[in-house]
Amino acid sequence: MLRLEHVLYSVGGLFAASAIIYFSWEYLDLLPRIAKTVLLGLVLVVFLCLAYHFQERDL
Amino acid sequence: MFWQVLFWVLLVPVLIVMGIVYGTSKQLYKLFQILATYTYIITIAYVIDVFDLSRDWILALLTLSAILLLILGYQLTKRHAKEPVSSSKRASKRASKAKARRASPSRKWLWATLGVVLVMLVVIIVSGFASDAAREVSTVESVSKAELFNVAVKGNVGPSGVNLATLTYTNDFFLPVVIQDEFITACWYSTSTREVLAEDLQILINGAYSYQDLMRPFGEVPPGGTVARKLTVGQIGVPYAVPGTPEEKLARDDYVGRYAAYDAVLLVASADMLSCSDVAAMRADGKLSLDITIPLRE
Repeated sequence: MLRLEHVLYSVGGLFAASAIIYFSWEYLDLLPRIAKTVLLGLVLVVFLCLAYHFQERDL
Repeated sequence: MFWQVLFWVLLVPVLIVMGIVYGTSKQLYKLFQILATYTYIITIAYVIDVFDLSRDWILALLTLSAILLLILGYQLTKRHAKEPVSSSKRASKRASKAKARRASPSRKWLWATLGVVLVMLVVIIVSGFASDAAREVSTVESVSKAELFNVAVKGNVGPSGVNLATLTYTNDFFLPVVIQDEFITACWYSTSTREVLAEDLQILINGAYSYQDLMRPFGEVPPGGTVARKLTVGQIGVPYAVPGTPEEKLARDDYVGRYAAYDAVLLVASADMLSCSDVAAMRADGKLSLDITIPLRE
């Protein structure tokens, strides 16, 4: 059954994705190469943390 | 920029694999493991591509990545091999521990994720504080009209054209600063009538045309360093728009006379596409980031 909080999570997620895409499109080119490399490494760590988080919950 | 090619080429297979993995296992964490692996591949490709590494460094990076991933794979294999399939005491103890963990899962990985995202924001904000590198423009004292006319007659002489100026960017910040390229052009200019001839003097920046520079990655100024960009006139107008050999052109009074009224070169730059026919209006609107007059000498 569709609950309000699911709708809010989904729309919030869409806004977050839009913000990330817009940031990448407009601002990423202005960052130096070393900052972009560090950000790529941190994105990798984020994915690993989320993987461990969902693995703990058996999701 | 092969890392971008690799990104798009691998994206579709990765999405397909993620779909298959989720369809068969219904486990979200495996998708994030696949995403993490994909991000690692793109990170290595990006580092190899943009930092112009030497062959030795590329080889070292590829070898270390191979060793790291093989070791991780071996560790996972050992862990899976230790878990018995049959219902032994150890298996049931592990199952009850997992059940207890699912009942009251910790949030440490969520906090770790939040912490990493905050670090990313700090990196972005600190990098953003590095405002544009200070730019100095030094022009030649004057430009030879004959040399400029020689470029006009030949149409396109490339990097061996007429020197106009040097842009020097200085960075006082502790991080590298990205140079935002601009459209730079020059025009025949009359200082008395303020008339601009609508015939572009195409500028080369360090040997490459201004509009082409914008198709490449922006340059960077290292911390505490400087980067110089030499501006030369490599082409005037549309090459071969006026038919005939250079000698035939020189013999035509209307061709030679068209530049007689102009006594200076107007060097301009803007963030938007720029041609000499737009310069007068852009000057009036204050849209030029560079507006310098260089006198012509006979």
